[in-house]
Amino acid sequence: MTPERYRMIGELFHAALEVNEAQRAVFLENQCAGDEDLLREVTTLLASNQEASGFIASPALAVAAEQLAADQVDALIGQRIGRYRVLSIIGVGGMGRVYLAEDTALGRRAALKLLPEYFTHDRNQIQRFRQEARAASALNHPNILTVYEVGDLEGTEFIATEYVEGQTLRCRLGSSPFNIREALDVAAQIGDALAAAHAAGIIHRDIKPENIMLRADGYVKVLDFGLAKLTENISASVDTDVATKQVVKTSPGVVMGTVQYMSPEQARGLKVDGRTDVWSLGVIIYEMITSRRPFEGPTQSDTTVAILQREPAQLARYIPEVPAELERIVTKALAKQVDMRYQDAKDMAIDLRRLRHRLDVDAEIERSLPRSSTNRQPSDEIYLGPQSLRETDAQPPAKVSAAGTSHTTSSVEYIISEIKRHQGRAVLVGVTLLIVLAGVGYGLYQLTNRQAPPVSAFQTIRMTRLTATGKVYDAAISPDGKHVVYSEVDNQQGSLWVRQVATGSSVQIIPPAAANYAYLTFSPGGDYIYFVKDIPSESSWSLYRIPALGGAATKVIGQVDTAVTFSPDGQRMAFVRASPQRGEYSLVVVNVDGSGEKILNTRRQPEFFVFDGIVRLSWSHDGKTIACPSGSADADGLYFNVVGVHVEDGTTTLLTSKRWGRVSQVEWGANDSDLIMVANEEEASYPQLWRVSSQTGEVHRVTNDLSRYNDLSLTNNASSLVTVQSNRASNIWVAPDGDARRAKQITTGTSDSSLGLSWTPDGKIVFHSDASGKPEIWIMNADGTDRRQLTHDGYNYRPVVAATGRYIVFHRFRGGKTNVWRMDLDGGNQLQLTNGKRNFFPDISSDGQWVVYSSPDSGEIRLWKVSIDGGEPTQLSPLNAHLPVISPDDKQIAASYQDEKADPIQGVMILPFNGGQPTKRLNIALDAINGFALHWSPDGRSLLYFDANLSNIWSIPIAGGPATQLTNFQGEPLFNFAWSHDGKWLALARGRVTNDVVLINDLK
Amino acid sequence: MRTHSPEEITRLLVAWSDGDESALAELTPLVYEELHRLAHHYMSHERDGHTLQSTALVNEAYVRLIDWKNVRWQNRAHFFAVSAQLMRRILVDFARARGYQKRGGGTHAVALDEAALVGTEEAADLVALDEALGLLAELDERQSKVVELRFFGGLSLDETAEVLKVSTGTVRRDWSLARAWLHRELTKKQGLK
Repeated sequence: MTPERYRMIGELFHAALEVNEAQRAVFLENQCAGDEDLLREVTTLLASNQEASGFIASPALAVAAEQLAADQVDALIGQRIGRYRVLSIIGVGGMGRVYLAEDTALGRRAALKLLPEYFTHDRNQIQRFRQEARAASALNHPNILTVYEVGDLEGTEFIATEYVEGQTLRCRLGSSPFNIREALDVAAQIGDALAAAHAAGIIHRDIKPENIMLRADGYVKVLDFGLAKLTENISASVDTDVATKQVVKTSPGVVMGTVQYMSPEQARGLKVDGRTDVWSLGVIIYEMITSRRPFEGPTQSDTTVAILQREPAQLARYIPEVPAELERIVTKALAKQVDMRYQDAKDMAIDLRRLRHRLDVDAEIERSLPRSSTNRQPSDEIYLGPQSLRETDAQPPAKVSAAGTSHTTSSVEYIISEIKRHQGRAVLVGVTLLIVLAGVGYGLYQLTNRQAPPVSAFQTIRMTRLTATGKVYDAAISPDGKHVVYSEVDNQQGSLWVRQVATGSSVQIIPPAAANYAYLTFSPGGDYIYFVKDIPSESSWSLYRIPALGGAATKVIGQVDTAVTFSPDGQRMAFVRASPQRGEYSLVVVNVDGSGEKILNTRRQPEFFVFDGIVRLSWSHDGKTIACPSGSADADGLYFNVVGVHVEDGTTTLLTSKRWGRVSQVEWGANDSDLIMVANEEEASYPQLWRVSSQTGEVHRVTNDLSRYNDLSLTNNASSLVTVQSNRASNIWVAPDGDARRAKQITTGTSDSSLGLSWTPDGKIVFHSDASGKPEIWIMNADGTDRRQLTHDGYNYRPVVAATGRYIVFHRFRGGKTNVWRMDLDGGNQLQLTNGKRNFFPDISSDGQWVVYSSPDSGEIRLWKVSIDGGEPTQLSPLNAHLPVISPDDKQIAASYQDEKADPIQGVMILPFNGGQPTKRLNIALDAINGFALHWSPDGRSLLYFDANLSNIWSIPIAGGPATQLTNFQGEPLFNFAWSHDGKWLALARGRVTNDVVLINDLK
Repeated sequence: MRTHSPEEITRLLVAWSDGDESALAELTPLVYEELHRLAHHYMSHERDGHTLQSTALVNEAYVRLIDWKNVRWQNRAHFFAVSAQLMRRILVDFARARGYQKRGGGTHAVALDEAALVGTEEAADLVALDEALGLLAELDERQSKVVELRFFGGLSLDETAEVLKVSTGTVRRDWSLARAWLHRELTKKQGLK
């Protein structure tokens, strides 16, 4: 720039100052006559002039002296103040000096803020300040500067806080512009902080860029919660010149900067609430996006007028590419009427994060436009998605791990998982899922024949479905009932979502990854979500914590086998840690940060705390008792109940009197007098919701339908709950030669054949169906006609017809036990072949003489063989194995196995029909053969099974060689299949399982 | 520290303005003495809000350093100009030295609240201002003088007008434009909006 140019700029600058502000812009445009550079120079100088009123106002000598004074403050460095050793000074400002100090007692670094006396010479004020600061110190949120301590150190008021390295948002705003996503990220974190503070009843009142720290790792920290009130109070009593000087000294241009971020109600001096912070956040977003403040004037009064009366220019005026949604968010935050604003910072944060996510997705789509969908998981991924659950009969996606269980594990499964748990991660997948079958059943039919249980107020429940993807795994509602967190599993990818109940909008807080999220629990304040991450590569499950509105997940503690439950004061949490190999099941209590672990009670076999599947315990509202789903075994088998563990001394009380088939989740009602729980009335019935009086043992039914309920989470006042409702539709199709194009649907029932499907030699189909209200065995022609029910007693599954066609073998659950039976093709001549507790999954030899089956009765699950006429069974193999299927020539048996010492450690083994060591091991992922879907090919040369997505049948040659895809179906997943004995027809069970979150209101 | 009579100070100033750098070495401790006196005041009294007293003390300090009322000086205006230059030189050196010291001391520049940074950045303010003032002098020498006289020399508008032999109104206009310009420069530089 030349002096001439500068003179020109100067002349115009002065001329413009003479012009009324309203006409200034027009004046300048005329004067500059298209000289954009001149216009910009003068405009920025005018703006600078407005800001510079305090700039270099004090003489240099005074400025230097103040700096020197500050230096002498440094004399404190190295000194001890109380238990703090001062390391260095990190800031000086209107609110006092801030030092980096070491807390010598706790050995951690802290920022020590010493307040100037002029803020605190009024005793009442000190009192208020301490109250506020102490309230703020209760805030525990990753986006809020943690206050360690507030007090008085040798006559000086101090606050010790977390020490944060980074820069203020103010600095950041000056250095480089924010892109929209960065701005959203920062804003959402501020929103999270505000939401958490507001939930705790603390309003910031002074949200501005100077109070926001940006850490290098992307974390945003909001500072000085609770302190703003103090400055408000003192502002009248402090000489404005001092304040000005403080500001001048610290940051030129930010003269009394707070005004620009004040809400209208604050500017008016009215009472404020959390919505004032929402406004300020709106101003900050505006500034981050446009590098301008929405409300500004030459003086504070002008700014105030703008805040009260003027609508700011749209963001798009400055940044044309700004998303309309962001415009909407900012407009809503800057609504002058508090009622029109976001009522809750949480909602604003959700909107911000959702938009941020959408932009991410858009960017991702843009990046990956030419890409095809090649991100399919390898089929041997140790994970079981929702679709891979067939024979568990509409379970939600099973948690598959060392625990190898699913939601509604039966007692049968329980035993198995006890045996197998922690022996290896994926090993159990096939085994347990198969065994689940034995226990999952349909108690409703029987219930209707029994005396009706007392009906409670629950009959008027209102049920709202919150999701529609059908892929939900686990869900929990926030204590205030405003938000629901749920995990989804899609194509073996787990993700975590938070849904705002009122608006119905969901935001993804953990994007899809090869992990599954279970045991979801909100912290008592609703700020965090605790969950267990099921990662295939990890052998034990750990508890993690993530801010409820997203952020980084941090590990809290390892070896957590149930969802956690919180003490009423929010300081501690409890969960079950199971060591099935040692036969020990412990109720563990820890501090919320995972420290201070203490075992409250340990149950030893045959007693146990339930730990498999999604299990929820509940800490009572009075803090005294933790209700835990528990179980035990006696001569009549396993049974379940709810045990109350007393927090004080670890002793227990039985809270339920009935023998339940299974109790999975329990929650205390509002007044600790009753329990809401998810339980199977009998081992084989569906899990339903119940209310049980802990005083009288009286049982009330909450739900009474054909769905299965697989989770339970209550609001604080117990007025609402969420659960995961699971439904299945399954029908039988027939395809000549397995040709998908010629496949024909032959039934229209709701749940046909998923638990068993077989052909008779003369081309009839024998299948399971729950058309009568519980699982029974039926027969029909291959075109669906002449459908007849063959069994009427107990719960019947897994029909298999011998090639000779004389008998159907099947297993029946009755009287708490499962045994193998046979009957004629017309249902007559029924004969029980085994007499144990758990004998199931029979197959019959082609000659019709022998039945092989699995049983864990001897401790490990093994294969057994019994004559078609009954008698003493013989053990076929000393190795653990399950789901035997006999080759068409009756010479070999294929069975799934898991064996840590074998190679591969899991898969399918082939062994001689008469038993002995396996002759071959095939590497077939166990989740691909779950249920009944492992069969020999009609020619006996291959084994057939489903791919992991359940979309088609695959064939692997026994002699070796790669597996090949046999069918070419599209659309709905397959649940089961059976080739006709002549190899010409393929019968299939197809349909779908949906798992969705439902909200139940009006619980009274 | 031996005391200096106004005459002595005047003599030193003249010597310095004639190019005698050793005079600076003698003057600097005088300025530092005033700085410490003021600093002590801020340390012990800043919380009282006795700003009138503070202002008076600053004025006193200037008076002690540049006792223009008692100075028998042929060219009053020249004297003011020299003393303002001197203050600028000493105070900027002070700030610069302080900044180095801070950096050498490894202080972490971390802002914790609305306070901007003590130490390097704040000390840099005077240094940065000095540099910006140098740039301004190239665009408009008189404006830079106005700032030097008022900010570093502690002169009033009228005194500044007297030194520069222009009207008070001109000084006011110069001051307002220079201040806006400097503020813009420093804001750009410090990343402070």
